[in-house]
Amino acid sequence: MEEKVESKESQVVVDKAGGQLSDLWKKEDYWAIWLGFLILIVGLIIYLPRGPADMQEKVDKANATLKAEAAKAPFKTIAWHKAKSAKKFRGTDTSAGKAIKKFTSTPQKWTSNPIDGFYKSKAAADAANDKAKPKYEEAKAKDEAAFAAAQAAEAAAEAAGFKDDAVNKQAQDAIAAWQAAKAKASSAKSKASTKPYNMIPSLIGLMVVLGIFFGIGIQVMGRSFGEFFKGFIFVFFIAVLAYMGGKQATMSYYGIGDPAWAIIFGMLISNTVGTPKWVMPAVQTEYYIKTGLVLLGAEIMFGKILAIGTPGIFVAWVVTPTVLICTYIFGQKIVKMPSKTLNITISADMSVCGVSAAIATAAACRAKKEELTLAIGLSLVFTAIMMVAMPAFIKAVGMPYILGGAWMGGTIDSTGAVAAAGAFLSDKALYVAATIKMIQNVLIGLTAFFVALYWVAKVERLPGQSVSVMEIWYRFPKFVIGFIIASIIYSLLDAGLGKDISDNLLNHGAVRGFSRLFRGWFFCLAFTSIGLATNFRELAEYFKGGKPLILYVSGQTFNLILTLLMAYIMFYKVFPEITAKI
Amino acid sequence: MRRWAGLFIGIFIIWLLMTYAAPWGRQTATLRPIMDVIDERGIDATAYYYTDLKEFAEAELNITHALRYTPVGPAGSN
Repeated sequence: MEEKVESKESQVVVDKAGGQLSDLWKKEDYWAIWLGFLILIVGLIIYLPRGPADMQEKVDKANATLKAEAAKAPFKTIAWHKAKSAKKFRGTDTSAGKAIKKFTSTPQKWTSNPIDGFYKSKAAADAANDKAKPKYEEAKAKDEAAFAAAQAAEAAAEAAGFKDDAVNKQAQDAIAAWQAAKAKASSAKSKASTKPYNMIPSLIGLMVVLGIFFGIGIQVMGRSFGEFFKGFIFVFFIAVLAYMGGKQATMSYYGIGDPAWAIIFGMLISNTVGTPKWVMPAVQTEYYIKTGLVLLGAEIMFGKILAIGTPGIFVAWVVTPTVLICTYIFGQKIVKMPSKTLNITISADMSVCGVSAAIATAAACRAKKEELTLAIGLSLVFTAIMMVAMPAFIKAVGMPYILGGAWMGGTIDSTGAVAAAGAFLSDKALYVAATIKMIQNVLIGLTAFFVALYWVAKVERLPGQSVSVMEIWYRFPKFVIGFIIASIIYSLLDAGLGKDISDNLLNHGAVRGFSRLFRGWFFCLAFTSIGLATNFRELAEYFKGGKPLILYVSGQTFNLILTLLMAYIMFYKVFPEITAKI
Repeated sequence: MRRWAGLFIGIFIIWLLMTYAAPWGRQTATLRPIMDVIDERGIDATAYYYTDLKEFAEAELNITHALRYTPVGPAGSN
């Protein structure tokens, strides 16, 4: 028979060993798996059959062009770039994809009027488009001019038989300039294509659907659906406000998104007027996080670690675990962190990839919600600093941008900040930084699995106690199994479908067009719950002595040094031929 | 009463941050360059996973194609 000991202050549930068949429908971990798998299966059913009838033909034709162009010229020709883009038939661009995106949409970006987050009239949309139009026209003209220049430069290179280095370089630079102008024109076009919207009906609809979705599990687990649903309305409302905070234009530049705002707003309520008692049945941090993590598993496709070849694997998968383990040991032996779970959560979010790593690790080791909050807070502060400081430093010392990109991708915690810092330098820096960070993101799966294993096998056992395999199984957080299974299935699908089809139907279909959208909401609900149940004084206790800050700074310093060293060795000494191809 | 005052003070502080502090920071010499890039490129700096950003999809597409279909040119060219 299982026993549960719930600590009131910490909301950490400690299970004693034992299991029954009824766990499959009575335990939260299993409900996270069933609900998560339901969404994943529905997403696959919607998107996988949705490719155009001639998709393989399109892909084959484009690949043949790419091969031919690669053999024709020693640089990426215009036709090469066009063939690469011709393979886009994304699930997210279909009518079903657009409808799903609309239904699950979060509030829109706003600047000074929060109502813009929910509603924009046709008149306001037209006014915004008129305001953005001149910049779009300018960007479009620059794009056209850059394209003409690229065509002329390529023609000159072709006239020389692609054997004149100087002319080839001019063509390469002109084509790169065209690609940059095209990206800016595309961004300017989006700003000049605002459509009117009214998000209230879809948000209400989504609230009802998610309330029922989670409420069914609550009911079967023996609690009241009605009480849960009533509280869920409030939690969902605060989550919407959190998204509003994250979409405020200026605040978003600092990287302060919905997780931070959810905690801030939740804590503001819980530490002033207090979270109403009728809301508490819906304050279900672990339930939302575990379900969200099962969905996140589908976004961890192991094939992606090969995206940039061996250098990427070394920078992201050799350096990262080294920094994680060394920082944890440093935290235990030198800093003497009072909490192992806080130590590993901070170590993971600093060394792996910020918020998402913190969530996965905290859940795997059953960290307290205050520890997750603290880890995320530290990560966001340093992310903002590094996003500004690192590209400035790289420019100032004249570091090659590919090296700089790899360095930033491997060290800046947040994915969005990596994109910003990379883009600040150049497109190549952005591509390398983003790819390294993506490979690190995929590491979350193994991090969560091994942390969970280490915790149940070593950390949670009593001194002198030996732990049997069955004991490990009973104690192992089962949602991590669901997380790993989702990852394995999607990795196999990714490999089986082939790169091009998978990118369109799985990555830009079942994942970006479905499971990811729900994952975002579930994590926001989780952070809202954390905020609504966190006491300022309890949170401050965890920061006593500044040890979390010392741990983060020490670990990040080591991370910066080791990542730069490894990136330099890999990209410039061992595999310079890969660097030359980028 | 004190609790409600605390809530409204908190909301007021957040409003000050959004309306004054953040825009002021945006215009400083240190932050302006990178924030202009974020604005121009439409990057979501708050995203926390690679699937949340279109830039990552483009980056992966570019890198994998650069490695898979590396331009080598005809014999005799570099």
